[in-house]
Amino acid sequence: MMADLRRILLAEDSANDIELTLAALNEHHLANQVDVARDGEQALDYLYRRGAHAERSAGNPAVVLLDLKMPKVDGLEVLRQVKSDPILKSIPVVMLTSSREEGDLLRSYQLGVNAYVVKPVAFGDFVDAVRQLGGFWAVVNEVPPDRTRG
Amino acid sequence: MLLALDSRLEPAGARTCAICAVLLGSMGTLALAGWLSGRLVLASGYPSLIPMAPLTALAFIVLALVFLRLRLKADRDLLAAAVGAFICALGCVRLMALVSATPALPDVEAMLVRDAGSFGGVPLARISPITAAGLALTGAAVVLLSMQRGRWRIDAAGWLSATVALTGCVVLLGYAYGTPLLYGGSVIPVALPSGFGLLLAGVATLGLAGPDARPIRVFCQHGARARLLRAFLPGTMATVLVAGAAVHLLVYGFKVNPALAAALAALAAAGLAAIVVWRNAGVVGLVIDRAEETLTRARDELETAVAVRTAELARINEELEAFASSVSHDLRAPLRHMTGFAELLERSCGEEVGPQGLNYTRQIVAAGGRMSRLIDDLLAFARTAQAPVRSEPVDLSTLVREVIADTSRDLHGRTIEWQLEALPVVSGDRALLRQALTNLIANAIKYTRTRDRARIHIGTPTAADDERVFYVRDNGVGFDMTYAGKLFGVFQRLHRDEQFEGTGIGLANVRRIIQRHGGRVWAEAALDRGATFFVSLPSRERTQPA
Repeated sequence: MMADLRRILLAEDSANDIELTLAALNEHHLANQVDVARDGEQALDYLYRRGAHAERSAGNPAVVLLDLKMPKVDGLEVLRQVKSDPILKSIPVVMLTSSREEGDLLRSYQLGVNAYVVKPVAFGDFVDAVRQLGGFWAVVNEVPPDRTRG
Repeated sequence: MLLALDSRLEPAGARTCAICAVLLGSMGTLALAGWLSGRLVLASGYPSLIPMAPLTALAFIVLALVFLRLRLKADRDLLAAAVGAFICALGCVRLMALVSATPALPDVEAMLVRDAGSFGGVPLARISPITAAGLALTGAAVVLLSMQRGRWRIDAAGWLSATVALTGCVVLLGYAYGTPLLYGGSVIPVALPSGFGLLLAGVATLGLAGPDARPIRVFCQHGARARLLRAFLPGTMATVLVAGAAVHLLVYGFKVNPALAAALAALAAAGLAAIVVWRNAGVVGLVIDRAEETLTRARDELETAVAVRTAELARINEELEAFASSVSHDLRAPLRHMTGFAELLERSCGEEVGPQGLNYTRQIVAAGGRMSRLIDDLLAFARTAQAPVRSEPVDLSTLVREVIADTSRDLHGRTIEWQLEALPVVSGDRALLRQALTNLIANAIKYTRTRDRARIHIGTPTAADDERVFYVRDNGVGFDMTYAGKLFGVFQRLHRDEQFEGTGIGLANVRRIIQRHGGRVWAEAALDRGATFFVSLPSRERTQPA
């Protein structure tokens, strides 16, 4: 079972949000390793194993936690590319955002997002939200067998 | 109250009066000269016609002088009034003498010309009753115009003048058509120059009365009606009269077959009418064209202005949306970090910061939560301004029960006595009305918190049969009506946060939602004696409550 525990990719530009997310995942004692991409471009490099991430070990992450607003390439664009790639599109993507804007939510679902979580202000709620989505996507959810590279 | 007059006509009255006065005076002088020299044709205008009476000639000369004098004087003129009264009296006396043949009255005419002979069966040098009446009316008009100018005096003078002028016209028409019935019949006929003189006297007094006097005011006013009257009436009347005169002339003058004469006259009349209409159509058409041009230009300008304004509004709306999005994203992120780290501090370093420190972190977290609610409420408030209002039948009774079920979840063990009346079905946006009702009912629950027995009554006013109005009444803490004006403003609160929590946006939202439905909302309350919030919605598609 532990061998199946793959990594979680967290694409987030705000250092504060990274720290809070990691603390929340920690609090839940989530065993998965969390890799962090600081913008959309890095996230795509990671997923396609190119650029700075060319050397990472093969295999798709168990789940991608994607911030909506990021420099260079934003979350919606990363989502669009992931969901239009035949190999990547089976990766569960969770949109993590501070926005309650209906337009963003609608666009995310149109692009095929698996979950959309508005980051709560209260840390306790945040921990609960991360616990739910982390537990669901990284542990419980059955991901189709990896048919990739390598 | 004077109606607006065409200003170009103001000096025309005095000018007309002067021309008529000169003509009238000359005619009178000529007739008098004829009588003095024995050449009666000077007083008749045509050898075979009856001459103007010498008394008429004298009266015309005097009237002409009075007209010329009055033309120059705008204020009261006692001399003119006296002369007018004399002429009026003279006319009346002659009229009575002729009608009743009273010998008691002095025979002025006999004194002027002795033994004048006769014209046909009629004594010469005698004034006709029609002329006498005309003189009496003209004299009365002069008296009225010599006095201080007032509305009714000017109008009365106008009517008298018009009657005199019309009498002159009828006489001239009688001569033109060769019909003695129109200028005297079997009594003393009116001489042709006298008829002309009456017309001149009438027109002169009309000119003196001015364009503001009835009945000619209608022709002199500003506006399309007066313009059209001025353009068409004289020409049309002249055409008909000329046609009649032409028939008469052809049949009796040139002995033409009456049918042919009628045809020729009709032809002439048609030609004249065509000229009148043709000439005036140009004027009227030009006016209409210009008006249409102005209208088109105004409409174009309006459309441009509306387009510019719409673009501006769209831009402002876009900016507002960008602002809302920015608030939603960027303002919330640092807030989340602040509270997040404060909670982390509490969780992981609680022992090191101590109880005082823990108290502080809790306050940071509470303040962050409060600010987050404020942002949420403000964004919701901004959205109710933008969201289009749908129109669907909404059963308020059902909606109220749903809202109560929702809001009753966090009553914290309190019990509330609900009193629910049947409410109307209204036309509106279900989601927005639900939000408004939620705010009102949540308020009622909140402000009855200190009561042992909280009572909330939702109903319609009994006195009014207007079923669009409903109210939410509670027995809570109420408020001072002095501050009722502040109640529905954004961020306006009547209680401190420690007493009753809130962001001060709920009622502002209620008012905006109801106003966007075309309704209004108001409140009645007394301090510590409960509050009642009334909502009135416009009654389209009113039906009985289900």
